[in-house]
Amino acid sequence: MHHPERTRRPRLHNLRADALLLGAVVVFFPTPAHAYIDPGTGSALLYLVTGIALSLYFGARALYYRIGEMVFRAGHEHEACQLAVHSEDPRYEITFLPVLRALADEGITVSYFTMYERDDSFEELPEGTRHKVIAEGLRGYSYLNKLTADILLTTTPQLDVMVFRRSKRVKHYCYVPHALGESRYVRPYSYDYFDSVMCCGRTIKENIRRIEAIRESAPKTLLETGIPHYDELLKSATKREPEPSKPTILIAPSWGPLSLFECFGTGFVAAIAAKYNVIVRPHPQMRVSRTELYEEILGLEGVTVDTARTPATALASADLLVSDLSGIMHEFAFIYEKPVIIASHESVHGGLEGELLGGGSELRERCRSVIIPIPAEDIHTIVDRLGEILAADSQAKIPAVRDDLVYNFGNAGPVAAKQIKGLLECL
Amino acid sequence: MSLISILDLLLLEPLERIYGWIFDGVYDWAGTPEAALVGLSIALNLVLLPIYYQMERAGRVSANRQAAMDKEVARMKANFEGRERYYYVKAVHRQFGYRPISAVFRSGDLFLQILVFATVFRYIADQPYALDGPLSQPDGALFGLNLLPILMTLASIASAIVYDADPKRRRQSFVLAALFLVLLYASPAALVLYWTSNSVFSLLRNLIKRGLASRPKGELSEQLARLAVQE
Repeated sequence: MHHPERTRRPRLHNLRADALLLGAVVVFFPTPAHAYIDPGTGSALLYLVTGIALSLYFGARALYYRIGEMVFRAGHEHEACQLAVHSEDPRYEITFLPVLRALADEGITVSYFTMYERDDSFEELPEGTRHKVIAEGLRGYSYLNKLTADILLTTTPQLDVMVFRRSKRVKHYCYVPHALGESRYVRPYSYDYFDSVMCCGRTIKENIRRIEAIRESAPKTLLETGIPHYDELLKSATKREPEPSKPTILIAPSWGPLSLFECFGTGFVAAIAAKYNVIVRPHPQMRVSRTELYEEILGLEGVTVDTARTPATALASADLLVSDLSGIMHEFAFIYEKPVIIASHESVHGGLEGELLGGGSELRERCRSVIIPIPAEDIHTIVDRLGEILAADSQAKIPAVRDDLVYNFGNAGPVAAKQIKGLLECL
Repeated sequence: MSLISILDLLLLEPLERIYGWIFDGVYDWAGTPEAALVGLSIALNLVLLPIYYQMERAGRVSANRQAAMDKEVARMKANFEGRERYYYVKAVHRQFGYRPISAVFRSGDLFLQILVFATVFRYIADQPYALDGPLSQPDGALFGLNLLPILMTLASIASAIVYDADPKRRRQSFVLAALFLVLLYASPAALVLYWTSNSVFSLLRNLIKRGLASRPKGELSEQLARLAVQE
């Protein structure tokens, strides 16, 4: 083959410039350029440009937070133990105590790390439990992030999501519930990075499995444990027979914009007080943040305001509880075996795990016969509804509902201890 | 010899040698540089067709996954702020196995295409027909207007319409087509002819693909069955 007229000569300047210009457009124009470069290249270009930009952004932010964590991490001595139990707040003592006692009975030594001091007012820890106070917040979590243990047991969710990171020297992380939950009104990735979860009932177990399927994550060990703090409540609860002549209604709302008093004011309390004995147990935060509303409640005629440290006395005195979505409703229904009315707006999932699951609360639906919802627009009928529910003897249904929704009612502590022992033997 | 010269010798020169074989082969057969340019375009596109197919398939999979991840990130951004938002977005990335920097290193197909793109133009720029004669100038074939850039743009617009039903992405493609028209309008015909051939090839490929995709399921097997009966 020979083409005598085609000899190599210097390149044409404008042709080369055009090629360079086009090359620049191809690289820096992040759009699917279907016609000029091949269609697949468009998306590849998009990933390239966004990948570089996101890497820079996340790199800078990660550095900022890492520096903060490193400052708090400095100076810790490494702790080594077989079974570590972490309690973030004194209110979780009631969850851990039945488990700690049962572990002691099993002969298992526990290192109990609390983010608070345990003074003489706290119950004495069982023999074989070594207690250590660690700092609150980031400093305390930095300590735990360096711990050495076979198992770490905690009530704090969101392991490895925020500042509570997994330690490379802890083999197994286990979450213990402190209320009857359903993995719906909890923040994102609450249980995802635990190795096991001690499920309080079938609802949370089903929903965790659904979330695992949605996120295509590996299934974790889901133990059928129950709620250890119910063991304690059950022991201390004093039950009394209902007072048919003038029953007592306990009104115990939660706190926040969806709480009873914020949504409906105090008018419905006065209406109830005209017919029944009423105890109001305002949320402690109301006294601080909504002083006027708190004063208004104190001034209600015929109403007893209960501000005792624990709600046990008020719960024992009541024949029916009126609340919104708060953990106390399950405790009242299942421990004291009395009916509950919940008057609230439909809860909003906004970013919580329930948004991922879709639909409404399964627990609410399954408890409907004993924890009876009243729609917000029907609040004016509450006095009539109270009469109907008290007359209906709905407490007879409670044990069946409870046994369906709560594992090992009244015996969760020993069950948890046996499960932990089993885990330790496997590791 | 500098490092760039060594790389050029090892990586780029062999490619240009292959282009030369194809170009010369078509030139010997058809006898015109125009036909040789079109032949080079078709040959390279055919060779790269399996890679394009893989890219599109991988792109579709990762685009679906990316869309799912973007939806989750948007959900976190809509509901949380500051430090909390940062950690949740990071958790979403972890869930999808996404690392921003990995997107850069996964773009091997893209780099290959840019490499072909650059070396072909370097090859064309070295050819005598690009320096002298009609192909070294804009064509001016449509009453003084340049016909090839217009054909190229029409092919590109048609290809975008065939390829993508999403109005937003179509608009982006139209904007890009207009940009290329402006950039290439006064360019030498050699360059635009090669580019137009690529666009037409892409259009034909998309038309064939759409034709196959719109064929009702089972139609092909039914036709084959009928043929078998006729025999």
